[in-house]
Amino acid sequence: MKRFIVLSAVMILSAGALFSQEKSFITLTGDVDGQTIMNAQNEKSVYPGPFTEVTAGALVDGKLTFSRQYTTLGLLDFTFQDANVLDHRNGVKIENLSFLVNELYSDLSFGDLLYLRLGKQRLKWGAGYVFNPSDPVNPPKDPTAMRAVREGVTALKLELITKSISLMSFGVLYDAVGQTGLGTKVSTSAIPGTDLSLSGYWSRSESWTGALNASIAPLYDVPGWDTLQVWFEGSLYGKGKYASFAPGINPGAVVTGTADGIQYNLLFGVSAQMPEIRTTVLVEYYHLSEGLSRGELGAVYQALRSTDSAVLAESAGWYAELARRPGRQAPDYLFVSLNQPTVTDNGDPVFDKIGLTASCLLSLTDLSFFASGGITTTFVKDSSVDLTVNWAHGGEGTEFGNTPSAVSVALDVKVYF
Amino acid sequence: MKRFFLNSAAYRAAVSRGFCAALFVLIAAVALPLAAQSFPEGDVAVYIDAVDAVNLPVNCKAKMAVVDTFASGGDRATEGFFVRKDNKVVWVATAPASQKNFALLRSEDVFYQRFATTNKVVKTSATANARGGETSNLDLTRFNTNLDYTVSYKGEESVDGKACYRFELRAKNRKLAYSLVQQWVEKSTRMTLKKAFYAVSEKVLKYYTVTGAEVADGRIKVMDMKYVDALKPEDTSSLRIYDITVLKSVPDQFFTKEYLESGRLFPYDF
Repeated sequence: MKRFIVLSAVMILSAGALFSQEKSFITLTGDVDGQTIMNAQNEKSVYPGPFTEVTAGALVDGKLTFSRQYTTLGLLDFTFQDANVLDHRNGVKIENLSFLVNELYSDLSFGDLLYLRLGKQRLKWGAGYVFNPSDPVNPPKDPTAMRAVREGVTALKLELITKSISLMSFGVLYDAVGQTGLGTKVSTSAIPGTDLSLSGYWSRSESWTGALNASIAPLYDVPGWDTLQVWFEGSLYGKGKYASFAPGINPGAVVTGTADGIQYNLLFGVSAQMPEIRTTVLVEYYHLSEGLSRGELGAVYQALRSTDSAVLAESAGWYAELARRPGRQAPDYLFVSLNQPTVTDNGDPVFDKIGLTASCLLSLTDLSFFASGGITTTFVKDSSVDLTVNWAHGGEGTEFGNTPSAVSVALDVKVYF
Repeated sequence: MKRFFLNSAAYRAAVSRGFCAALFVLIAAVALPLAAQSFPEGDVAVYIDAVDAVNLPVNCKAKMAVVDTFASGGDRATEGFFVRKDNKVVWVATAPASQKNFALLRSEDVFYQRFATTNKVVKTSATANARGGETSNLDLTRFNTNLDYTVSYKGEESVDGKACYRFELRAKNRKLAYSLVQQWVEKSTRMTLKKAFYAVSEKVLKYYTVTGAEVADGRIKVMDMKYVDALKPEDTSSLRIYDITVLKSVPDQFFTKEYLESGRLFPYDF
């Protein structure tokens, strides 16, 4: 109910700006994406349930902005999707229509110094690419679905931006009063070559979180080495976010427990662009204090694979727990990414229009991995054709050895507007 | 023996020659800088500031269109606008559709790049070509010559039949892409007609010429430039700056990483 009131207020404010006597603008940008995804089932996966081999459909990712001069802004970021699944057994078509509001907010500027933003919004947090340890509020990233659109949270944000330092304070609204949280972040780029931020967050349900973000370009003054960047993101928090391992009553069963004490997450990253060939290399290592050890992960997956119905029933709570933390089940991960924006940049009619990406997320705990490779072509103006292949591999007791899909291939045809 | 040596004619001649050589060196040391600084219109730095002001006001906004043309016959076009406050510039792409919202921020000598779809802001370098082609990040955001270069006057030359002053620019900061630049300024209009960019080896890398300009009230309203790759002359970038509008003041907040990340707008409603 609270969120409905907030979003209604946002719509009214935006409409007021739009129909005021001042000059107003409406713009619509985004892309239409025709998409086909083919999955090869992982026979070893413990996850139950029907498996979809082929999904086809279209989605529209759009941003509708209302603005009055540049001091008042209303924004609607949405995804409209029409996904179709054809059942090979009986030819029945299952169609899923969805309209997701990713962001809907009003933004007001006071004297080009103070800014107020109310509504559903993504709160910017941290330099981490695959994971943001310092983010206490946004829905966490899924490293196995990096192209998925991320929703915002309903919040009121006040921002003071000066030449040397910025201060952000915000309140996040949830359905339950007890989950409403307050936070603040101070950031500065005053130290040459460095971007720093310190943040704090508290809610009755999440307890407290303190975080530090630092990005440094250590060789920014050295030509040829000026793209090298190093970053750190870390957080301490008073209450565990994930379930801990606990043995069940039945031998071999596992149940979810609660982590005690202060927890922490850390991330270190480095990236650089190779001169001339323009390949960007990015490497990140992250550690979660709540991650399950190799033995614990193995025991969980073994319990979920058990033929003993009592063990399976007692351990069933782990299905949901594991599903909500992809790339966050174990304590240590390494992520490596290579990105070639275009093969060449010299007017070649073919290779100037082909881009390549490759990445791998390796669990350093159980040595399973999730690899992804893609090719993007832009032969037609304002459009692209993307082919992406994902491959998950690991043993029976490992995280990526149990993903529902062993291999998936996605073909996207996008038209930008 | 010593007295004989000191009194000899040979010794006196040697001393005389040495004295003349020293006097010549002293005169040259004084005269050459004086000759180098004898710019007809006074102080070189003040003149260059005036040239920059003709090309682009210190606080302004403008639209920009860039077309990269390649030997293969293909081309690539980008459109956008920028807002400038002295040596701080933010450049935002408006076309093609796939690059709308892409932005480049220069805050003094630090560069940031904003990705079009996610609003994620990362640090980038002056030498990188965020949009590709012959125009580097520095080319798109460099408008204050005296801040970036030490300028010296090199004499008068003709460019396309127009009388010009030639200046030599040496980079003050080695982060800048070009350690050496030659600039030709038309005497009658104070408009830069040509700039050539050199590598550390002093071999010309690329140059641009002004192919068209509309001047009103003593400053440029529209300017067309053509960048040419000296090593591959068939690869060019044509750049057009237009709708140049003076702004009375520009908030410093526009040129911060936080403002860029927020996705908020800049005063581009021309």
